[in-house]
Amino acid sequence: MSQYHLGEFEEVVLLTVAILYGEAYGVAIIDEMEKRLNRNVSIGALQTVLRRLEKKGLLTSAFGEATKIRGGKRKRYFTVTEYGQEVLDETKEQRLALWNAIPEVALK
Amino acid sequence: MNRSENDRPPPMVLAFFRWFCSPDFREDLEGDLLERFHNRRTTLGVRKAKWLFAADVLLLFRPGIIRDLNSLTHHKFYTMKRSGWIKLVAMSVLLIAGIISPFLPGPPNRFVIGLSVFGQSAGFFGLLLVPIGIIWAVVEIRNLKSRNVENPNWRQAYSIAIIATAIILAIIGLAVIQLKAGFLGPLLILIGIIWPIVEIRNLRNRNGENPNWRTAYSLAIIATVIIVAIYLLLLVAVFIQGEFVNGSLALVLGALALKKAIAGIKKLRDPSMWQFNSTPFYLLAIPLIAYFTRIYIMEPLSNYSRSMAIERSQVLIAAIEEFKNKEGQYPESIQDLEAGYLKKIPSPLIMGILNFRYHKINDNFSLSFSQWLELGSLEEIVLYDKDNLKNKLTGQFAKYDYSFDLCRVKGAFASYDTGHGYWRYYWVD
Repeated sequence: MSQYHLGEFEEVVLLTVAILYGEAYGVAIIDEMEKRLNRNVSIGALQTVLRRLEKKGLLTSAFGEATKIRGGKRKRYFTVTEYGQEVLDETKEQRLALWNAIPEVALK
Repeated sequence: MNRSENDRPPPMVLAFFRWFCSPDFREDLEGDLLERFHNRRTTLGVRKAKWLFAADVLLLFRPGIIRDLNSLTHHKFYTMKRSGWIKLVAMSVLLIAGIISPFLPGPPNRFVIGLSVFGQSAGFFGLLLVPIGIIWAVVEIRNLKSRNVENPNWRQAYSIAIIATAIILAIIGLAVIQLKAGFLGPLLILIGIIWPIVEIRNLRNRNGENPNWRTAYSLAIIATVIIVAIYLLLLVAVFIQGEFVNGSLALVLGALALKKAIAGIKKLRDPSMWQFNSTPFYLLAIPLIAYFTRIYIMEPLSNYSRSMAIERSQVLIAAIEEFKNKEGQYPESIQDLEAGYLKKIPSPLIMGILNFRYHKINDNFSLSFSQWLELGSLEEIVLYDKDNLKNKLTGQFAKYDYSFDLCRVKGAFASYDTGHGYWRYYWVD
């Protein structure tokens, strides 16, 4: 069992990186999160979480291509590591177990 | 401004981002910021995109993204770039503010008195550092010229350094005139002796990476020893006055500064590390600015603060007289006035004047306050007393005659008329 417990925002970021498989860089992740969750995300908040997840070994990153609108600066693409997948699976199972444990009458 | 320039993100905000962002993340984060700006410019317009760009940058200023805090604030001991000159000016302004702060309006604060004493000390004892600063600056400027191949901006730095030195030398000239050369004379002779020695040494060692590193290293050690000695003397004075909290704080800050200075000095030993050094300019500018502030600004400011405090006392004096009219005698203490005569005892509202002091003397009273003028050694006591023999002295600054003064202030060596009724001020050392 993993020792790392994801926070709500960390989980959302990790899932979004997984959704964007291969195309997950800063602006794309923000756009995806804003579109799917209807909430504003700042670059600052996102980058802090991305760096933390990378430091914990849940994500890995590599430089990609540079474009003109980015002022010639390269993108940094993030991908979920095997350990990241394990943590996501565990989190999902925990959530499902909690949902399944709710009596039918509790959430009518 | 043409359209393409206007369509760019705010350059100052971008510069701020580049300054604080860790180099590890700078490229991709800057790319993300620019891409977001580009997208928003299309959908929301340029103006809004610029505001949101600034907001994004501000929200990035957080731990984990900003680079090492020490390197953000680190004083560049080896370089004198534009930021170095800005720091020098900022430190000078802070120094002046520290010296004059006890004479400015504000809530009474014992800390500002200590701050002023420290600042004034820089202008008094710090003059010892001026010759060291001059020699060191010359050494640095010579190095700049001899290493022009490695520094593409050497001409600019060389010109600025020479102009700065010329200005500082002109200020020293003024100081010599001010002091009638009595104090600085021996120091200038010292420069005259050391300078040729430095020149001869330079002639002898022309092959190394930095022929002058030993000179800079020695001067840095001498300057540090002088500064530490002055600082310790002041700390002793602070502790003797019973200011244990401020003294302890100053001791800790001094120890941290010394640690940093020693680390910087150690690096001077490596000749290959040489870059233009800003330290001599600090050694020159700080003592001289403090000195001139003390000489030219203190007197008008102390006159101002004295008048302000006297004006603030008028309500208090009126209440004391009203008390006498109603009660038949003067109050035993000014706190008695809070029973129907004054809602609250007024404060002098000058940061360096802590309170009004009241004494009932038979069928009279005195009201006084004090402010520190010089280095914590010259106290000015400003006294209201109807027994003052103001009218028997001639002229505003009549020579002080102890026998004429009925309100003898213990230890006073001079007394002057304030120009405000029964108020006189006394200088006590």
